[in-house]
Amino acid sequence: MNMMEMVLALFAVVLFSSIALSYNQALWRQTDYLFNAQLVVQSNHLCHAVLDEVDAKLFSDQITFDDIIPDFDSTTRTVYIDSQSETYNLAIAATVCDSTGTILPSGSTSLFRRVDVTVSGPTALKHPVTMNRLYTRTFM
Amino acid sequence: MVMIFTFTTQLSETTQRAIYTSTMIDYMDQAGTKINALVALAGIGIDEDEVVVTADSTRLVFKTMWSYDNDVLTNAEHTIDLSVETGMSDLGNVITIKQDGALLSNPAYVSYIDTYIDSLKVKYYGYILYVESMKFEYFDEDDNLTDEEEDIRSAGIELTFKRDAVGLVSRPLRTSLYIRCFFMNSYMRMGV
Repeated sequence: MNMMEMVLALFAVVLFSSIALSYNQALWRQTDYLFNAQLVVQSNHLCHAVLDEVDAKLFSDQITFDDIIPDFDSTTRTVYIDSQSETYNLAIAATVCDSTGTILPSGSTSLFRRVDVTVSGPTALKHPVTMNRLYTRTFM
Repeated sequence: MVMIFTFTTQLSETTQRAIYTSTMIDYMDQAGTKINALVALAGIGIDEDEVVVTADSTRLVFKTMWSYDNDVLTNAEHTIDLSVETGMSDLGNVITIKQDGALLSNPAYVSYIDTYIDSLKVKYYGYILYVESMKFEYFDEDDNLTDEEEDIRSAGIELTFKRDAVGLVSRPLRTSLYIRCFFMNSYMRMGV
């Protein structure tokens, strides 16, 4: 093998290694996104659980419509899921809003309340997940 | 040659894992939603302290007057049995949902398995597939843990799924999901 052939072979190895590395990097990024997707699904279910809890307690008269803000606003929870070895932090905000969910100044008169649940925590969760639900005063 | 072989093998395996994981995440989400929908209709027409019949760490049995088979309200009491069964499928353990002892066939709540009997494809309904385990914990109206059936108002369910991807039999893919299901009709009864 003369010098030229050696240089060409070297270039081939470098080229192939670069392609292999970029493919690997793309696949690992893909895996990362999938892991994130799994955490997003879990976060969605945690948000639903809190919003369902508000519904349930309104149904049972454990809380009244006027208790939503004092009982839930600015509260936090921590949920550790054993099978995932992950800790999720839940931040809950309850506000006065109009029928479209637009937040109104505190103390405004309205038939609607909005509860926002934001989940964060696991490092692989790229962005916090937020879900909200509107609650309507039904008995006046 | 060694580099090419290693590269293609790794590429193939990582791609397979990515494809199977994405389908598993979707399946897991659907399974969680189906179980939540099932529990949400528990206890219709039943006193709140008589809804739950059996509350084990791996099995939940409850009563309702809702018929899940055709999604209608009936005037008869039904018993719904949610549990994990092993050895029902080559795809792993399965969650079975039975209404009055018969497997549910409504796709709103269950998936199905395609099985071949004498070369004929048969659909077995009544299952949620690829399950490794399902663990229940129960809460009373104040969200305290309880194992007294009459006090149960919600259930926390930890689902772990396991699937052997093609070529990755010795390294199964695992995903898990925790859901909290509220017995809404029991809460409504409390408010009456």
